[in-house]
Amino acid sequence: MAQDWDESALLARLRAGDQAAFQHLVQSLNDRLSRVARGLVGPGAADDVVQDTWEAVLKALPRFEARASLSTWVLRILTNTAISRLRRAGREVASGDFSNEDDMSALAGRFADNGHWHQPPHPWHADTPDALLGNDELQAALTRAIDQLPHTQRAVLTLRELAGQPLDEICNALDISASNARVLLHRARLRVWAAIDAYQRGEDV
Amino acid sequence: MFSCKDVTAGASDYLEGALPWPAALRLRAHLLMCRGCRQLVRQMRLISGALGQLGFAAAPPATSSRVWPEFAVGALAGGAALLALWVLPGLTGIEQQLYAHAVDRHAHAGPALDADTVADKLAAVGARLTGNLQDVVFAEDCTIGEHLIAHLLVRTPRGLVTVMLVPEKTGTDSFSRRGYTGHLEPLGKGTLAVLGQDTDGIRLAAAHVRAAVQWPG
Repeated sequence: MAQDWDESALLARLRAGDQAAFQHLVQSLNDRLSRVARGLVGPGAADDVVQDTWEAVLKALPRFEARASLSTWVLRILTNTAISRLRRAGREVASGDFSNEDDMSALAGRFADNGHWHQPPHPWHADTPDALLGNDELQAALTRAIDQLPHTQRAVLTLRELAGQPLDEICNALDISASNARVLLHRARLRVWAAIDAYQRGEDV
Repeated sequence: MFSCKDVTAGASDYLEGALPWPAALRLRAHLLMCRGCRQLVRQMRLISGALGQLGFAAAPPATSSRVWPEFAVGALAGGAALLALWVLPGLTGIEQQLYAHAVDRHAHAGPALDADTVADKLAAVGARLTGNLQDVVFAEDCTIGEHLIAHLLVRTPRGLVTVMLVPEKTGTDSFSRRGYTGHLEPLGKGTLAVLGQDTDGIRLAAAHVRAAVQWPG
């Protein structure tokens, strides 16, 4: 199905129960959904969440009012599915990350006593998003860095960067305060930056 | 004064547009002088962009709201030096806020906008487009501090001019630094601010706007 699918045409065919249309939708979104799911529930449960999402999408399609784009709507179902799964598992969605972790622990040793760089950041070989993603090893390092985040940091980062949600929605979804969300996002971003920086400087990550 | 460590601590909030603006301004001033911190912010933004591509966020975070660039240069040559020299000493004056807003990257010249689009943005601050305002290549309603302003870029034969309708009364005032000129004058409900690199250009743009806009509408 290589033809271009106009969104309204696709939607009409989806509502008519057209299997090829559904397959097209799955193919076009599945990888991205998997990454978001992985960020929210971890690698182990991500596939389940994606599968549950597609079932929920099929059920809800007749009620879809096209106020948002299809991909936004499907993404929303996925994040809701993932978050309620975390809740069902009895896990406080946002627990465990409010340790007194130094916000800057990812950059320990890079500052001098006076607060200036002791070891300043240098330019990277990959200096555009495309260049970064075009390098398989680098993309793997990025995935690994996210996998290794404490889970609430990972969830906030995923909702913000991959799902593109605004911070105030993230607070509600994860039931955390605005300032906690900002701190968690900040910690996560610095950790991921430090991991990619280490990789670009040729260290083992 | 911000240290590199302070910049790092504020970098994520800065990218979110969540820093209070005096802090954002200090951070930017630091970035102008510090290559290491510029790298950091640039690379953090780069990672955001890459993650967005892996997911559903095509644009880096907070492009819709005000994102302060690492350098305040861009369309306005010399602006960076000006920001460091002129804006830092006091952070309260409306002129300084306007200047800082004018060098914000969110304003970008495109093709000339149609009258309806321009009228919409003017309407946001209660002004009405009654005449023919041509060559507006950017129009947005945005906030400076607590004020909602109309922010236009007008193309003149003497270069691009930033035009802002600010619903706060100020006196007539001009400033000029390093080839960059700003002029504030009362207009209707508030202040008309014009900023550009050519004094004739800003005079032209101000005259165009005065002729074509009623405020209150």
